[in-house]
This record gives sequence, C-alpha cells and structure tokens, in this order.
Amino acid sequence: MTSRTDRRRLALPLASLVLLSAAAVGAPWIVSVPPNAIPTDGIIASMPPSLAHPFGTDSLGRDVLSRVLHGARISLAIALLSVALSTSLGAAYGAFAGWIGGRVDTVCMRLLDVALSVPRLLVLLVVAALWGALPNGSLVLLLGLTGWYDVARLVRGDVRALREREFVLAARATGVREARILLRHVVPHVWPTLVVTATLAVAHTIALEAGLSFLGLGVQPPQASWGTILADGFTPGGARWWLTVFPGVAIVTVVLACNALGDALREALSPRQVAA
Amino acid sequence: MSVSSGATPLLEVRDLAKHYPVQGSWWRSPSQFIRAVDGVSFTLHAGETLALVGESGCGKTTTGRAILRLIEPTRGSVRFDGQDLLALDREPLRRLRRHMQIVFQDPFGSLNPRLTIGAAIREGLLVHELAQGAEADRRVAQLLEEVGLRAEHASRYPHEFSGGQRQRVGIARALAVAPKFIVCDEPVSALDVSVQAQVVNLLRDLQRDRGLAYLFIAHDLAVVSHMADRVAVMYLGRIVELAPRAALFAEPRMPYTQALLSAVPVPKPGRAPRRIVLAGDPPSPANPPSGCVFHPRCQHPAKDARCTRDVPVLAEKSPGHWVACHHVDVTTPLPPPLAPA
Repeated sequence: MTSRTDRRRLALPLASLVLLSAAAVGAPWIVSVPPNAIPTDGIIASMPPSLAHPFGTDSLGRDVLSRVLHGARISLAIALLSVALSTSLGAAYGAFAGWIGGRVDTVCMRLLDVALSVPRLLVLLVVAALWGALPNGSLVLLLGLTGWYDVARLVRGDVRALREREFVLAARATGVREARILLRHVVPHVWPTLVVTATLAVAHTIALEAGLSFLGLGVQPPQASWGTILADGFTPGGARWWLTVFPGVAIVTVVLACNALGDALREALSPRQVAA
Repeated sequence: MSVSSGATPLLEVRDLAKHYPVQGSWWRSPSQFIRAVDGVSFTLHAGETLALVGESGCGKTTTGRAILRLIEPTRGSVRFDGQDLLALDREPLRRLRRHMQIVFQDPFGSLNPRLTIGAAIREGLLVHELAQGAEADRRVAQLLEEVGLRAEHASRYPHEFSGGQRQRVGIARALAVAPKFIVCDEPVSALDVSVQAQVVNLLRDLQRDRGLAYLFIAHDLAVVSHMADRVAVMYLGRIVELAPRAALFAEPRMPYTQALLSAVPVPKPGRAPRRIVLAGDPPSPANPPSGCVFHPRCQHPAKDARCTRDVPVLAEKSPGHWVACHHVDVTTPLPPPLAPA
C-alpha cells in the first residue's frame, strides 16, 4: 500500500528510532563503564567531553555516555509500555462507546469530558507528591491510566463513522455476526488511527517522563533516565553544558522522529479509496 | 388491509413505520418525530419485482432497510416466508438473512476497501457454512462469471474496478448465499446510462434464472418500466398508489402519480403530454399535513375539506389497482359480455 514518497518519508525517522533503540538495547556492550559507577579516585568528576568520556562526566564522576545510553532504556521502556497501556485502554473504551452508541455512548463521552477537564500534568504532580518516590512500574501505570482519553475519542469517532458505512450494513445484511463485523470490517479501519496516535503519544510521553524525572517526581536517582541526567546538570556548582546537551539532544531526536514518523504513517496508511 | 395479488406471498409487509426522534436528548424523551416511513403495506411474491418509486426523501430506502431489519422499524409487521421477521431474536434472524439480501446504491461505499472482492463474496458462504476452502473458491469464481466478471478478479481490491463492475461485485455478494429475495436499493442510479442498461439486464437475467423476488427501489421511471411487475408509488412515507406496471403507466389515478408520470420525457417530438407542475416542495416528514399528505399540492378538481381532514386509505379501486385518494372512484366492473342476440 505504500508508495515511494511514503517510503522516503518513513525512512529517516524510522532509521533514527531504530538506531537509538539499538543503542539503548545494546548499551552494556557499547560502553564498558556501568551507568552508576562512581570512580574511587574522584579526579574525573565534572569533566568535559574527552576521548575517555566522550560525553564527559557528572559531578559524581559517572560517565555521561553510559548514563545517556542506559537512560534511553528506561525512558523508552516507560514510554512504550505506558503508551501500549493507554492505547489499548483508549481503543477498547472508544470502540465500546462508539459501537454500542445511544445513551451508553453519551454517558461514556461525558465521563471522558470530566476526565479531560483535569490537566494531566496536575494529576501526575499530585499523585507523585502524595505517594512520593514512585517505582518505575507505578510510573508506567500512572502515565498509561492518564493518557488514553484522546485515543478513546478518536477511536470512538472512527467506529461511529464506520458503523454507518454501507459495507458494514452489507456485512450485517449478509448475516455476519456482530463480533466478526467489528473485527473484520471495523478494526482494520481503526488500526491506522491507533498506530499514528500511539507513535505521537510515545513522543509526548518521553517528554512528559523527562519533565517529571527532571522535577524529581519520575524516575528516581541514582537510576539514569534522560530527565534525571538533565536534573543532574542543574545541581549547584556551575553549569555543565554536556549534562544538558546530550540527554537534551536524545529527547529532541526521539520526539521529532516520533512526530515525523506519525505524520508519515498517517499518509501511508490512509486507504486508497479511489482508483488510481 | 392486505395489498396482495393472490396466492401466499413470499413477503408481506403491514403498516410498517419508522419514526426518528428529533430534538430529544438522552435524559428527555423526544418531543417530535420524523416520520420517514409511516404505515407502508404491500406483498411480494416469489419471482416477482415490485418497484418502489418516489422522490428523494420519501422513505423508499428506509422502507427497504426496515424490512431487512438493518434499521429497526418503529411499528408494523414483516412476514417473510411464513416467519414474523420483527419477532425474531438476533441469531435466528442472522440465519434467515441468507434468504434475503440487499444491493446498495453506492458501489463505492458498499464494498470494504480493505478486503479483496473474493473475500467479500466468500464471507456469506463462510458465515452460513455453505462452502469452505477450495469449494468456496470455486463458488466465488462461478459467481463472478455469473455477474459478468472474470474468476481471476477475486484477488483484486474494490478500488481496481469501475462503478459498474463494483455494482456487479455487490450483486455477486448478494447472490453468494442463494437468496430468494433481494432489496435492490437504487442499484443503477449511481451508474452511467450505458452501464445502467447492462446492470438492469443482468438483474433481469438473474431473476429469470434463479426465480428471485426483487423489491426494486428507484426514482428513474424508465428503469422501473423495464424491470417491474408491479409499481408502488411513495409520497412522504406512505404508499399512495400501487398497481401492475401497465395499469400504472397507462392509467395513473392518484394525482401525485399523474404528476410524477407527466414529468417523464417522451422520446417522440410533438407527443409530450400536458406536464403537471406541482407547486412547492414536499412537506417535512417531521410535520406532515393533516388528512391526505398530498393535499397541499394536489390539483385534483374535486379537492375538498375531506382531503385536509381524513387520511385516505389505500383501497383497491379496480382489480389490483390500489389508490389512496378520496376522489378516485371505484371503477364499475366491466359489464358481462353480451349474449348473442
């Protein structure tokens, strides 16, 4: 289904994401220094980038390259898992409301409006403040449970539109069971929406998690995530640009690549309805 | 009231209605209804074509869909092959669907763009367990050839076909389950005129070969005169005249039908009959006129207070010719042939 322009637009963001993920997965083999290793001599603390430490070291003398790569594992894993959770939740909720329709749909959507009226960041800050240091599992849960509203609305809209399409009526007239209509005639048309929104949500969640961790409410030190490394660069004792720039570039790269990928996928996955 | 033409009908529709609520919210019952279909009755026999004609918005499509319960009717009864369709639960209804099918107007929207046409046609075979595997492939190939396509088209997607070809696919899909009855919902009005003729002829051939009954919904009277055995004329959700094709075209009796027929162009110079031009637009089905729904636009010379007060029933004014009008008299039966002197 993809044309050549589609493939070209997909290539760059996909390549950069694959490269970054590979670096994250292969971190222990790429860098020899563990991310939390504090050298005993202490002389190499807060060193600018050098051959031995290409991204420099932080105030405790830990290797920033190692921390950025290992931090990528944490940041990407949290984002991917919480988006998987929020997308499934949103898809199920939206599909249910849209397919049943009527009053059930109205009630579901009003509840969603209520949920949407509370800013996500506020919820996250309050929960993190109340419970203090959250383990990463809870962080995934929290991000997942607060991130599904938009997906639900989009899927609900898609399903409601699809429900009225004549090929759905035709399947019903043929005698196809409702469950099969939903799986075979409706879900395949919702799939592109899910893929695109999930891709964009990964970008959003990466930034959100970095923000929370930067504030000390997300991933907890000494564990490395892009947000905690950024925070380390803001500790008293003078600006160390390498602590800001390298995790910052990583965040920007992933967010841009995800957004570009999402847009390219939206183009590539829209069905060709009209004969070419 | 029974509007039949003898013998046990395959389909018997009585007082079918579909009202859509307007201005209602989810916590409040609606205060107003759109009467899309408001008391439609007719019968259809095996192998017969009943055309349902009328202008846009008169409730033809809703009637067709309500009969198949693709839309749940508000009231009325539909008996198909001896069974009360509206009383059936979901599963028995689903099973019965293999005997009644529909061909849609829009050949673009009625095929799933993500399924090959082979898969679309197979679906009916699979869900009714009529054929599987290689046998299903063979049946699909046979169906494609029966509707004038080629067997190897099965692996192609809808967007690879023209409008006329897609309509043939839609017909093949309907035929796959070997139905007795098909609702043809304006099956040719989205097609070019030259393609229309091909599809109409295909439908006629299939009817002859398979003994199908059609409810043929249309607004093109030329197509109707080619297809129909009987014709029902709808206006604002009701049938206002129902007659055998020849009788209806030769001697329309309801003033609305007369106006409708006078609008058909006659392909003979100088032969055009007097054109009856109706004033205004059809009234809103949310607020239909009292009495005869046609009375505000009616040009019948005898129009009187009764027309605005009493709803005329669809009554048999001469054998097989049903008219809903206070001022169409029952034709006196022909006198018996004179005995030779």
